[in-house]
Amino acid sequence: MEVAHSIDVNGERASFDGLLEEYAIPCEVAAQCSDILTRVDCQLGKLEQKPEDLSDKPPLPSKPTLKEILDEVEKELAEIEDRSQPFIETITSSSNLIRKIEQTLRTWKINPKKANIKNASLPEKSSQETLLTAEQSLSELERRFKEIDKTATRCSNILARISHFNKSLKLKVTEVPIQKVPFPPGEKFFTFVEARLSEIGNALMANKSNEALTKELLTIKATISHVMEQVPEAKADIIKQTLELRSLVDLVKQSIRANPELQAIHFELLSLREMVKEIDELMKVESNMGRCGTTVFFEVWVPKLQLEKVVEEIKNITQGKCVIEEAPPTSEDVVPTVIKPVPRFFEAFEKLTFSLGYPRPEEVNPVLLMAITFPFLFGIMFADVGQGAILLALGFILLYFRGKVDINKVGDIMRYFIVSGGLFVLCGTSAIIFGFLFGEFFGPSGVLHPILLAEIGPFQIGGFDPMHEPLSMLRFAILVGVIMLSLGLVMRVVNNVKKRRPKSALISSFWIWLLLGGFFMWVYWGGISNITRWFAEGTFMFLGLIVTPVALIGIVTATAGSIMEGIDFSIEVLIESLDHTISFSRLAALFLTHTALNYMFLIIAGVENGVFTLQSIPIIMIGSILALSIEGLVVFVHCLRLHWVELLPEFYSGKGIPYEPLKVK
Amino acid sequence: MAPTVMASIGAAVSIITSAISASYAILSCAPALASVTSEKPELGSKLLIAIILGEALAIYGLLIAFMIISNLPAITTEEAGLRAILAGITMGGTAATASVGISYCGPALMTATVEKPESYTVNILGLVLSEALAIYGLLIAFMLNV
Repeated sequence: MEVAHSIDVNGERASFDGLLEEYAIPCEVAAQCSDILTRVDCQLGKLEQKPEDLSDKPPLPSKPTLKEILDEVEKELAEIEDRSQPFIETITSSSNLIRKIEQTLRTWKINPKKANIKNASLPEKSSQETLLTAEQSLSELERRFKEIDKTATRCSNILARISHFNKSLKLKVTEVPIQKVPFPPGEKFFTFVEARLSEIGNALMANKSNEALTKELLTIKATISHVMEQVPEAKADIIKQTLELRSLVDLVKQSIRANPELQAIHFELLSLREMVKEIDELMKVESNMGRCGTTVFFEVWVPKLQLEKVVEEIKNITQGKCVIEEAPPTSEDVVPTVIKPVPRFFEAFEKLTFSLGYPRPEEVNPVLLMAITFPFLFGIMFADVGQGAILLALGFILLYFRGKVDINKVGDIMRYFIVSGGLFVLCGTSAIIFGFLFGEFFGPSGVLHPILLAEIGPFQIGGFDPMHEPLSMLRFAILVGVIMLSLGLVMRVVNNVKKRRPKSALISSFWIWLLLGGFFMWVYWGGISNITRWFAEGTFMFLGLIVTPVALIGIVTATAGSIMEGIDFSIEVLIESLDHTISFSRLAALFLTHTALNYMFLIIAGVENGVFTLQSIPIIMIGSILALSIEGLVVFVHCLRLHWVELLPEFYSGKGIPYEPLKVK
Repeated sequence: MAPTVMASIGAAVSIITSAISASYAILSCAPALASVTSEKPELGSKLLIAIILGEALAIYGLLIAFMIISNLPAITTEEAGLRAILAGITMGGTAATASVGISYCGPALMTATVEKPESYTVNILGLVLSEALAIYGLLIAFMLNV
């Protein structure tokens, strides 16, 4: 089998081999890349430098392929490694010495981190010599410390023996002169003292009252005690010297680090690191491309406006050795949407809108519309001049911080707040405006009187006290709902026109007709309870405003698809629009909740007829904090819900994919 | 029974039932949110809506109870007292129904969103429609009491 196989492809074999080799290169290069990165990091570790990112990227050497660039980088790295060898040796030995000193200090029961002595002067010797002498003096110090330790043990032994004599012989303690002994006394001294002590002991046992011997014993005791007293001082001295030694070694290490050549090496290593990282990124991009021999194939989305620039750039890079095929998206393609950035002031609205989903390419991006409607609805539910002003001030503070603080470095909740400075400002302004319309200042305190803005039929815009006329408020909410839903339908028409779907645009405009017509009927004949009069006296109006659009919707839908589907769709939308209109009554309900909450605190604080006494202010403050936090959050969520469920789905699919340009970090 | 006593009963019914409903809704949504955020913390802010809507039920109950109590001096007839009781019962009852809806739809919404974030817009409907029940009750209770 094997033979047959090789014979079959024999003619082509040479070229296949070449292909396989070409294919193998990327894997090799990738391995080489990570290998170099490890080596650079290792070198940095040896030099005890941190692998940090450089702010300005070094340019890559101009070579045709990544493989050659990597080879170049590797060569450079090898050279740097040679150059840094002596530095590595000194740094390693000094670090080892420091570690050793700290180890020693630890065996002496001293925390090396707490004890610190600064030694300012650096000797004139070369760093290697200094390190050598430092090591020697360290072993010398260790030896001396051990000796002192030993001395201390022996001294205490001797003192124990003497006190033993003292007890058994009951000697009189008298003042005796101290014999001067060098410190630390040598081995000979102790041997002598111990031998002498045994003699004296034996002699004293035999003859209990030998004054000369007693005196000698006391002299020995005094001398040894004196030696003993010197021990802690000597120990402290040695520790101090050791600490000085450590600071000296530290200084040596710092002087090596401050060496300009080492700094240069450090910088070169970092720039190599950057280069390798960039190559790594490039390779990641390349791995998404089809590759065969020396040919590369790729397919990308390009925004229409930048098409020419991109084509030109590709031609430049490849020196014309390229084939570019421009193809408009087909109907099966999912086209990514180029999302235009909005001003930073509106970024919170962008986040809120895109939480629902991204726009399709042919849809209007509703961020700016939302920046109008969201504060509008929020203001109705949160109408209050005082608390609106607080929101406004808070918004300005947040906007101020937005410019100062790096939002990636603050906590999650804080980031949400800082980003929504613009939202606070707009919502606060809207709340102040509606506060004037409904006469609210920290609740219905009586400071302001409601201002009537307009009166359309039974609808009053402002000019009434909603606490006592909840029905007027409800009517106002429904009016707002109808306006909002018509706005949504208008946007739907716009989108359908943009999508080149004339039939859908037509249906949507009939819906506006039906919605406004139904609303007008409801208002004209005085509510749903008079529905019988719609058919009696208002037949023509009923025909014109309700029946005609419904019929038209039915006809157009039926011609668009199957009839059953058309009916289904119409009934669904009919129920939905009724439901959505009624849903806006929550504007009234939440406004009443807000004002009632504030009213409660006004009563508790004893505010009457707009007179805020001094004692009432703390209670009003607590009420406002409660209203701004809990109640504000509820209002915010309802606002969001009105957009996500009622308004935006009228015209916004949210099924787009954002266009993210190919980037090499 | 004195009209004021009846009205007080109405206030008590309103706040107690609404608080129990809110507690039940939060009780079932918060653990689901906790487990979601342990996997995908970025969904937390989006799904917090379920808990806030649950909590809002207690605020509605508080509102009606407060309205009844602040109206007490005006409640002199038996009819007004009955209306107050009815307002409390309406608010409490609708809050309870909304709570049942939220406590079923909220966790379901959360588990679905973890798997398929794009299903969020459809699935949130169950949640907000159940919550709307309480809003309707709130409006009617308010009108009964005025």
